Amino acid sequence: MDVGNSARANDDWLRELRLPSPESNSVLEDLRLILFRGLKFALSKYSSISEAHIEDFVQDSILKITDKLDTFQGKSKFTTWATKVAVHHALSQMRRKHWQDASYDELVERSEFRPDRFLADRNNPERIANQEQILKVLHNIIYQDLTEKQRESVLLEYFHGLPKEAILSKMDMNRNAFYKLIHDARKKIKNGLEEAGITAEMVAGNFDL
Amino acid sequence: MTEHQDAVLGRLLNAILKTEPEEINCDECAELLDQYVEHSHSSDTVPQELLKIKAHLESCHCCQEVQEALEAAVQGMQESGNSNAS
Repeated sequence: MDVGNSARANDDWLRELRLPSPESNSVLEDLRLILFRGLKFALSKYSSISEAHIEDFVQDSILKITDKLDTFQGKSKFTTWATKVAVHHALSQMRRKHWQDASYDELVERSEFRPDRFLADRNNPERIANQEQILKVLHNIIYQDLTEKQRESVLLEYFHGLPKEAILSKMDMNRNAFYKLIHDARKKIKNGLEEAGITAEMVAGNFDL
Repeated sequence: MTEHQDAVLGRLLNAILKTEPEEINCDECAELLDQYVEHSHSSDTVPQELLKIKAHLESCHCCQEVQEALEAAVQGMQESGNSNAS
């Protein structure tokens, strides 16, 4: 696929994209081709994504990009910035679609943290004892020290890998508030481990981190 | 412990161990990600301002997924010569 005038400088992209039609038609077509190719590379590992899906993502992304041209600060290439917008949009859509039918309550239940599931089956009693001690403290912190919302968020984020979009829609939060919730939970867990005399070295050493 | 459980626990423990008192949030990470990816593809030293993305990416798998996809796109476009010169 040959991209037309793709060697524009950032200012040229901005100027041409702000022009009324028909002058902007060629720049929109160039942008479409670049985003299409970029998304093909970006999403190549997702086998369920077809070229038709990519085309839809590109069309939506062009609208987003032209709407937010004023937020582009020129600190990267325009094409990298535009591709970032497209990649973000595509992955958000893919995650939403993947998780839209999942039962939130079931996922929360399945995300329960049971330390016994995580003990390594190795012939090293001392190591197993250390792991047991660390996981027991971790379990106590998660279930006794975290708030209900913090616990739910940590379990869904780390134990189930549920994407933020799915959690946010159920918890009625924006992603920055969610990140703060998780960050506060991680700080609380880290402090709790330290207070229990469990150092970062002990955790890393016993779990091969 | 299965490979999956190993990975799940490892992700949580890693995120806990790497937790910093102050971290950037997802929007701040998204804002800087294009610059970060470009720097990671160049021989330039990554500016201090962009290094704070690393801690966020290590604890946020959604942003990490976007970063990896953007890396793949930038690399692919560079190799096929479709990036603009600025």
